[in-house]
Formats: sequence, structure tokens, C-alpha cells
Amino acid sequence: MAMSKQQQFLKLYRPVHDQFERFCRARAYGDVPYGDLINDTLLIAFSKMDSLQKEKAFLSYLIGIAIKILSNAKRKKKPITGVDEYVFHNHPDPSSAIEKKFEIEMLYKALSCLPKLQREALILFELTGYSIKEIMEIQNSGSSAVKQRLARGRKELAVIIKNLQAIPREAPKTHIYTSNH
Amino acid sequence: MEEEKYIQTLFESARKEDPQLSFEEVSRNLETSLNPGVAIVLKDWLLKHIYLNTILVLLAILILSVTVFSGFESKDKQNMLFTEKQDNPHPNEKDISTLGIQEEPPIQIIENTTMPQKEKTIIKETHIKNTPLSKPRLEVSNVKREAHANLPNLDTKSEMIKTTDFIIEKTPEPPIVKSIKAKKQSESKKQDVKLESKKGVRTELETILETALNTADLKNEVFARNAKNEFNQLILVTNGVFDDLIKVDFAGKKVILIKSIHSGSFVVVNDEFVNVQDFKIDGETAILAFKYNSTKVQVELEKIDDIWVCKNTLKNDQQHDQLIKKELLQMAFDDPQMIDIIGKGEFKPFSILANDQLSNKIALHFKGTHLNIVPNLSSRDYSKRVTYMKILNLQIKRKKAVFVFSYLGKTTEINYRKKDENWTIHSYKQTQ
Repeated sequence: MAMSKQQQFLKLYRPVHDQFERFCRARAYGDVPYGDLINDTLLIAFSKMDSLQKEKAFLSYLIGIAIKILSNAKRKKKPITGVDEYVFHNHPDPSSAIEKKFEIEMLYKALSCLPKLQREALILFELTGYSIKEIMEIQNSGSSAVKQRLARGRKELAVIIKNLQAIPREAPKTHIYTSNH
Repeated sequence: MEEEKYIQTLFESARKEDPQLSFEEVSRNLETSLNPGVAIVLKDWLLKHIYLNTILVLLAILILSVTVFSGFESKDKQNMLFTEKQDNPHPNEKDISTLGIQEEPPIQIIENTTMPQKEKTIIKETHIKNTPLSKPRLEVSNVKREAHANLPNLDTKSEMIKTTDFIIEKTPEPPIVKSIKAKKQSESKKQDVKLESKKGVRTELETILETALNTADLKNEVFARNAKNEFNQLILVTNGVFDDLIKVDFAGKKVILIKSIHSGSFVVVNDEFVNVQDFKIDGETAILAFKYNSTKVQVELEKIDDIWVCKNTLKNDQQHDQLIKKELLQMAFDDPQMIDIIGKGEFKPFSILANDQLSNKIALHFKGTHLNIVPNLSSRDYSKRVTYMKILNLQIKRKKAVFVFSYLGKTTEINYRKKDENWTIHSYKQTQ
């Protein structure tokens, strides 16, 4: 019985996995490892599977849980103001090593610097592909507020990305061995 | 515009990017989380109930330690029994090792005469002999039981209230216990003798203090008495000059010795306490200086034939002293020669700068004008605009006194003499 429930859950999850993974990766950037966030969200979603009313709203259901987990995690953590240098230069993400994905990595970094609601609205709209109406429901706000967040978020994102491009990338540390002989 | 486009391309490329965490990986993680192994479940349980586990572990340790301790104790008891057996090779009937439980046949029958014949109960009583196997020190004998069977509403045989009286007799102690007790008694006796000998020898400090305080001169003039003309309980503040853990008597009462006024044990309300200032023992002489109720007292003692005797007592009553000072100064201000010195020509009203040698509560007059007394230069009342008579010295001895002051740049020394309890001005000496 449990297995069938699990299979049903995974069947629901499979089509939204890409979108959910992208959302978690962008939203959790610099806060928590996104793999953990996905796992925690799925566990909670599975345990409260009965509360899901529409199968179509499964992604929104997952995103709602993920946002709650992140806000709880942030409440427990110390408040971080401004851009953390550590996040910029030392975040252990294997993708940062790949040149092609550097720009996407930079986008995630820039997104992490935005205010919470702006970041969420931008990620949901641009990366997850949600409509303004859906974002309104998730954020519990009006349409104008969501639109404002999107517009302001884009502007701020442009400034942050410009600044980030101005920061030189950290050169790899090399050890030079010299011999007296 | 370019920036917006760039951002849009960035978002697009992010959307197109393949997920770094595959669905298979996520489903696998979920499955392991939902169906964990026994080890993981156990680990989770241990971590979740860490307080309960800690308590259980502590309890286990406690029980173990108790059992181990009791094991040691039983071993000790066995050893004791063994040694006792060795000490007592021919045990008599009451010996611990051979005693056993013996039930004697019924010896007493109690008949209740107030009850009807049917309700009469016969209680068989057993006499239990002492059978000390595990706890062998007591012997129970003469057990009496009374049946209160005449209760009206009770059934005859089944419901009875019994009272039992026990007379406890001690069995003779084994010789090893006797020897140990005798040893302890002898030791305690030795200690008592030591304590008694300590009590008998009074320290020199106690003797000197007692002699000094009980001097007739001080008793008559210094120490306060109550309404019944009895001396008040004397409080002595040592101020750390000597040890306060000593026993000193004053007028038949024990002196309360405290280290300081702020010791917390006693609250000294008034100034009627011996405030020790100094105490010195130099061979055959000793000096005790203290303050009592604003009186400075110095007692000098001397040791004659191993007995401390009060040699001299010096008292300096500050209030009395101030009165004498006032008398002497007023005498000087009223003297016509003084008027010549100070009030030559035009008299300038002046104040007295006492330099802490005179209380400012004293009222002094010169040519009918009240003189203001300023205690010292740092006083709030001191003003440079006022003409001052500065007191340089004001000393009173037994039969002599000297008053030195400077006024308008001139220093004057007045000497007094005491004749038949009356002070008189002896001489004037003026220097530039």
C-alpha cells in the first residue's frame, strides 16, 4: 500500500521535476544546498499527500512547501545583509568550474542578492514559467504588486550582474616550487 | 535595453539547462528516506530520545554501582563473621554462628471472661527465641498479646484487634566489638583530657585583655551601665588587630568579640563598644588603645611576678577636650592683652581657620562678635576674601596647654597653666 502511494507520488512528480529542480536551485542559492531542499520538500509533500486537492497544482504545492522550509531555515539562521563575499567566490557548486555555465551561475548569484519576494517572483515567472496569476496565488498578493516586483527585480538584477561582471574572477591558486640547486 | 536583453538570454539559457539533479537520483533519495534501514531507524531513535537514553544509561550505572557496592559490603560481613569465629572458637548457646529459630510449645492461654462462651477465643502464643543469623544483635522475649474480642458488631473468630508489646534486650557483645569500643572510649577520653588542658591554659592575650578591660578606673569612668547600675554587655571590635576567636570576660559577662563593625553578625547601634585601635605586647609591658563612646582610652599594663597588672590608664574624652579648648580660646579672646594683639587700631571681623583642631560647633566671641569657624582650607565655607586667624597648634596636656595662631602675618603663641583645676594664661609670645 505504501509502495503504491510512493509510486503515485513519483508519477506526479516526474513531469514537474525539471521546473522544481530549477526553482529550488535558484531559490536556495547561497542559503541551503538545493538537493537537501528538494529531498525535504518531497518528504513533507509525500507525508501530506492527502491534503493535495488538484493533481495539476502539484508543482505549486511543492513550491509552497519549499518556500516554507526556506523561510523556516532562514529564521533559524543569522540574518545576512548585503552580498556575502563567501557566497560569491567560494560556493561549492561543481557547475561553477564549467565555463559554459558560468553565466547561469552568475544569474543565480545575482538572484540570491535580491529581496526575497522579488527573487521568488522572478524565479517563478522566468525560470519555472508561472503566470502572474499563479504567482499572485503563491505569494498571496495582488497583480500590481507582483508586476512591480518583477520590474524592480529585473532592474536590480541588471545592476547586480553588471557589478558582478566587474569583479575579477578568483585566479586558481598555484604553488611555485623553486630550488636552490 | 541591452541589459534587459542580456538578462532575458540568461534566463532563457537557465531554463534550457539540464537539471543537475536527475529524477532517478531524487526518487532514490526519497525511497531511502521513506524506507530506511534498521541501523538508520535505530540511530534516529537514539538521537530523538537522547534525554530518555541518557537517563536510562545513568540509571543502569547507578544500579550497577549499588550492586557492586552491596557485594563488597556482604564480602566484608562474611570476613567479619569469619574473624569472629576465629576469635571465639568455643561458642556458647547465644553465639551468632550456632543460633537458630526455635518455636516453643504454647505457654499461655488468655481467656476473655467478658465474652460469651461461644465467642471466647484462645490465642496460642509462641515464644520466639533470638535467632540472629543475618541481624543477630537483638533478642525478643515476653511477647504478650491481648485479644479485644468483645466488640459488639464483629464476628467472633475472624475479626480481632491485637496489640503486642515487645521488650528488647541486648545480647552480650562479642569480644572483638568490646575491644573496639574500649579503644574508642580510651581515645575519646584522651581527647577530652587534651581539650580540658587546653581550656585550662589561658593565652596571654586573653589575660591582658581581661585585665585591661576590668580596670577599676575604666569601669568607673568609661564603660556604660544600664538602669540597674549593671554593666552593659561589652562588645569589642578587634579591627583585625588580634584574633577575635578568644574568650574574654568583663564584669562577669562574656565579651562579644567581632572582627569589624561591618561583620554582619552584630549591628552596633551606638558608640558604646570597644573599638580597638592598637595592641602591643613588648616583653613585660603591654599597651591597649581603644575608643569607647567618643573617648580615647589607652591602658598600659605590666607583668609583675607573672601577673599582668594595670599600670596606667589614659583617657581622652573628645567632648570634654573640645570644651576645654573652647574655654581656653574664649579666655584668650577675652584677655585684654589679646585685644591689644588682634584688635589694635581698627578691628577687622575675622573667622577662625581651625585646621581640623577645633570643632566648628563651638561658639566663640570676640568683642561681642560671633566668630565663624571654618574647619580647613578645603571646606566649602572657606573664602579668600575673609580675614582668618589660622590655628597652627592647639595642644592640651595634663597641666599645660599651648595655643599657636597666625593673624595678619604675625604668629602668636599663648601658653596656659593649670592650677587647682583652673586654667590661666601663663605667657604670650609673638613672632613676625
